[in-house]
Amino acid sequence: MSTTDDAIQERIDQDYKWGFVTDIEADAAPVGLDEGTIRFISAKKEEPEWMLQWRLEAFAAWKKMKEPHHWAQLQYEPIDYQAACYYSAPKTTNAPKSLDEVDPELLATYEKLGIPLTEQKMLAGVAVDAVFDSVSVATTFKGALEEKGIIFCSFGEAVREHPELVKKYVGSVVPRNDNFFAALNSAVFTDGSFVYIPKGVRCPMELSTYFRINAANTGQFERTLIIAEEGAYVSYLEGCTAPMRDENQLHAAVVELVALDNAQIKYSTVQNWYPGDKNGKGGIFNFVTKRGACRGFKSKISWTQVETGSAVTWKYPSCILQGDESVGEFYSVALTNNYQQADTGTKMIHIGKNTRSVIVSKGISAGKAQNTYRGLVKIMPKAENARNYSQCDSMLIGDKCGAHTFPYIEVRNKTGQVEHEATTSKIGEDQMFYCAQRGISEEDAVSMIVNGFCKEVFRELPMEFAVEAQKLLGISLEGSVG
Amino acid sequence: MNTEHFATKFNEFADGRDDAVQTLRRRAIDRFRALGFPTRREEEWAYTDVSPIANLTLPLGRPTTNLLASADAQSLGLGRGLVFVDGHFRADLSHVPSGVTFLSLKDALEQNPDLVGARLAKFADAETQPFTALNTAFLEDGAFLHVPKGTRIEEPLYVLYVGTEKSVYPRNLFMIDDGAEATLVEQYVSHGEAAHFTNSVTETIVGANASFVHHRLQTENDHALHVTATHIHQDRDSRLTNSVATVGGRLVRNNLRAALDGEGIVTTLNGVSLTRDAQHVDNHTWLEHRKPHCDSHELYKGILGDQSSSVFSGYIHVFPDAQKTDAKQSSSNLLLSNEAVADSKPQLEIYADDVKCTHGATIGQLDEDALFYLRARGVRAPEARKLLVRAFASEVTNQIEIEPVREHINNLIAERLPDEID
Repeated sequence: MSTTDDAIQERIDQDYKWGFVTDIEADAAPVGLDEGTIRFISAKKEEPEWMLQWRLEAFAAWKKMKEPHHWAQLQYEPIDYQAACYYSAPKTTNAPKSLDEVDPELLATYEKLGIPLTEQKMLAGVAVDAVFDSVSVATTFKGALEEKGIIFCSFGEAVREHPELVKKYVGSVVPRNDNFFAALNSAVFTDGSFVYIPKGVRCPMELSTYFRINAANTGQFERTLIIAEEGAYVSYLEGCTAPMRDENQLHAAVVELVALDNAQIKYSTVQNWYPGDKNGKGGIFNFVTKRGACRGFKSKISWTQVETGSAVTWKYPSCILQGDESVGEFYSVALTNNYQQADTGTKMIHIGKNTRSVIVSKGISAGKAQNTYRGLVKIMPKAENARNYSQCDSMLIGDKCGAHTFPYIEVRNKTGQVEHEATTSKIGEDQMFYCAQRGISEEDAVSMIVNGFCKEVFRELPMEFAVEAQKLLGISLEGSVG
Repeated sequence: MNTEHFATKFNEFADGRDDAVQTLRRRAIDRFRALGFPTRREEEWAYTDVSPIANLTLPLGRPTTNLLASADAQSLGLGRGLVFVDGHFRADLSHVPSGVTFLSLKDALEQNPDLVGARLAKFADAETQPFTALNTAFLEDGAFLHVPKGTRIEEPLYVLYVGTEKSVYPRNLFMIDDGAEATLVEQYVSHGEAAHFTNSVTETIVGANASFVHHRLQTENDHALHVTATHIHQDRDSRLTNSVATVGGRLVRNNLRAALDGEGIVTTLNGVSLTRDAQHVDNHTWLEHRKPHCDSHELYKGILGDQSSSVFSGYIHVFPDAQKTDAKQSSSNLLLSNEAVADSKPQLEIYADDVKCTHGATIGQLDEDALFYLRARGVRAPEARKLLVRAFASEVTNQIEIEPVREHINNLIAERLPDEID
């Protein structure tokens, strides 16, 4: 047993060694960050001059900012921004050539999640032709979308093909100087997705990065922009349930959503990046700025997230409810195990009349992990009859972990109704006993109880995602009981 | 900000002094000068601007002899007890009950320096808290209560602080030894309508199996500036109730820190505030569940009229060993005006798994259905609204067991309610 363990361990270590000894190919930027790096990235992406200027202004703002290190309930070594490489070719030369070379532990996880073989290869970073199937799937969908006038492409493509739209909306929800990580992203973002749904169009399928091979591996600094015109509807899925083979330690993404009159955007995320090993070594730092603007009358933005990966998660998908009668929703499951740390939550800024928002957050903490909900509900003076309901539940598994709740409630209008509720609980011994009595193993019982705890959030996920998310929780919690 | 003004005042105050607490004072003023006044950029002060205090130039309160007659003092206080004018003890106005060590801190320091010295400034944090440092620098007088082991004091004890146009720094030390019981009512009132500044610090030490009920009534005039810090240290199986009613003052900040440092402790924290015009009331509580099997209950309610504002921040920290903790926290605000501002920040930080911790926060207005119910029964709208507001407050005030105190707060709330609630 221990020899196989060692073997596995070796593989894992090896895997991450590859990540940092980046065998730099011809078209990679030199290590470090200065204006030259940004010009290099911009040139590589064949961007117009205005985009380069936009990046440079963001970089100028970033240089004046300090890494926020004091307020979040997170502890990590300061990041050396000059030691990172900000642009490298998507594929490294030493990618595994077949599944036989992939870490068996990773494969076992895929098996449990029930991921088809071709997709397993894709996720594990196995190069070449196995992924062609998916590409063809993607192109078929692309045709259907184009027919409706929907633009769904990589961010880089959008900058070249639809500059007027990008120019109009980029940075309009998350300004370049919004925060340290957003500024960094604005300066050095490499790619991401762009979605535009024209007036009155209901997107016929769930848009997902899953199918989009050309923009998969977009790297650390993703930038997503989704615009739903009047009466449009779109459901967008980001990430996937399977652990991604990833070589970057720092991720700083920016996601901007714009919903106009009667438009609706549903944004679902499943994040399962490398959380570090059982001793808290390694793992992804995930600093994400996600914000949606409900600009139109009766517009609606709904965030659903399942966060199980990353060593450090810093993420607050927010809604600015500008339009009268607009609606914001936030449903979140954040699970931390071993030495993972998550500081996540939302902001609901009520500006328009009769605006409503719902926050449902479920935090599960196991091992030596720290799980924090941090949220803001703000009712501005003009937001007559605004309504918010927040519910934050935490579950602790084991006595070495922590669960924290830091809600901020600011009300500036007397007609506002704000309710916040938080509870903390553990898995009851009687619940476990009940399951054991019926022949359910301890791990299955825990997974079942945790899934029940998260049901309200899973309900919001698209069906296939929900099924995988449930299995994922079970896997992430393995070894946390007993 | 005007930190140097306070430092200059300190030099005048401390000049020529050489008593036992002088080292404490010197250290505290140094800390205060290093810390400065908190700004809104600091997390704990984000909702409260202390510049009206920082820009103060009020003279320091000195002992008085003929300000206020005995009859006036009695009419101001709810019961007979210790009376302080401008932060200094007035023996002529006070009634010191027999059989209890209940006297001014200054006298206690002279009579029993060992007992007082052993406990004074042990729990109040003058190192990181600027206002506690400032209070410690000007530490001179206040109320001192010592209830020896196993003693039970039936009658409530009263402390009355009367403020006039001065800056005062009352320092209270309450020691309830093992198995002892006491109830204390602390009242802050104004003499006249002039602005005055009170920065008080209270240290409460509750021994094993002891019980202490502490009421704080802040009914100063509408120009008063008031910052308090209450530091509570509880030993195993002790019970403590702290209830704060804030009705007066232009800017009021109440800090309360309780350390539940033993098993089987029960802590109850209650608060009610009624604000109008431009009043600002800020209640901050920190609860540390350090040991297993402790219960805490917190209930804070705010009623806000006109352009007034209120802040509630409640922090519950459950230590890794504090299993079986049961912590309940609830805060609600009732907004009676569109210009009123309510901020709420209930926080949980939990490091133990077998605990029950909940917090709830609501901000809203009067229930239209309840109003309709009353009006359908012939109660005129303004009366019905007042009735509902009082009902809202009564959840807190009804927990006050001393009748005159309860009645006094209820009456004040009824009196001070804005005439037109819409």
